[in-house]
Amino acid sequence: MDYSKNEMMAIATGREFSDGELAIFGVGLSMLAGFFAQRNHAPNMIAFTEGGVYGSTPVGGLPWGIEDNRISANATSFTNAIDALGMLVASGRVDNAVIGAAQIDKFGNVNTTGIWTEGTQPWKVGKYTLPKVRLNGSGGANEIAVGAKKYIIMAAHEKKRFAEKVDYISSPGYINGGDDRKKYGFPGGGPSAIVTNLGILRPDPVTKEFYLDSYFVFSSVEEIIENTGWDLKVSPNVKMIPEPTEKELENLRAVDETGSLRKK
Amino acid sequence: MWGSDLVAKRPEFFQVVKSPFDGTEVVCVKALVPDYAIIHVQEADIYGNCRILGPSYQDALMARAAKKTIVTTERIVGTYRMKEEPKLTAVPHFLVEAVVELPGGAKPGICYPEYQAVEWPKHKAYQKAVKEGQVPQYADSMLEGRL
Repeated sequence: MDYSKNEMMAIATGREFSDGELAIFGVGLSMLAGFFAQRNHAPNMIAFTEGGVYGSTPVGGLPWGIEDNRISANATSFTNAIDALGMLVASGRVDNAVIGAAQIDKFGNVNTTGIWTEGTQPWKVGKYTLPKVRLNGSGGANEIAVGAKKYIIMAAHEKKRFAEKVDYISSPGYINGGDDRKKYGFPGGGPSAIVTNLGILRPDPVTKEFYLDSYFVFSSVEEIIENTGWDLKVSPNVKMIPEPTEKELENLRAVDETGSLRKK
Repeated sequence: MWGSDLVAKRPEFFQVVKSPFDGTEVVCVKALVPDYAIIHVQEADIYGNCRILGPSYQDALMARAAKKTIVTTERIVGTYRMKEEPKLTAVPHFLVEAVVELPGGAKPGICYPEYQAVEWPKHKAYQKAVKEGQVPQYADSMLEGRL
């Protein structure tokens, strides 16, 4: 079957959703993965965006924002970001979510703020300085990371992105591992999986360090270890993720009308 | 509200704390999380999406604060009404536990623009019923012939 690595990643992410969940998706590929799940196996999923758009499904392909016409065209409700993030996510009601990541570490902390020159990271020097590269920011991902009962992080699997420690925590995962989240009183439970274009990592139930759970037909344990910047542990039951079914691909492509996931 | 007795006499809800930024004193209010909110709206669909066509007061906030929300509505409408003008959907359906079609449900009060004046004799009867612990009997008289 002919499909791209990004399509496999989106389908693997979508499989993490169950019917009836209240879900919020970050902008970009996250939305395609989420709305694929709704179309494919979770028809009663209730989805909204951090801009306060409720009850809609994308029309005409990948929405380029959180409240643009592709995501707003058939909405039943528009409120606002304070309502969506500050009230509905912050109250702990959201069951499942997807966020993206530019840089990610072994405890699932996500950096979407900036990349610093080695040695000048804010956590190393103890104060904030301007980054070498400014990223596009957390958006609503911080609130989702703090408030959703669980969520999935989608990222391109590259060594420079998968770091021992992120330069800056934009959206906290398990902070320094263990039950660190409890210290901060977060209503949400933390990331349940990191789904990449090479495989799926999941957190150890106790240490919360992410280990390799499964790989795709086109990737391998060795390739994933090679592309991870920390000493990645591998599950003794590491397995291959089933390839997309015809129905899954058809439903994904119906959502991804413009083929954003097929582009290299 | 600072300076009122709300702050002075209800420490369980209001506390004055020093701002960690500049040391000025600010009032903190405890978050309220009621078990139920009951609101009356002009239009709702069968899923619980609510359109508030008059002033919304605290209704939308109450629906978000409460663990569960019960909606009474002047009429049930199709979801296409929400899609026509999503800005007017003040409460999305997933916050709503139950929808009850109940025309006149805000009487003897007001539900703009459906009925725009308080019916004072009935309102007085309601006040009297509250004082005398006769609310169920009052409700019976209001609902007589309608159920």
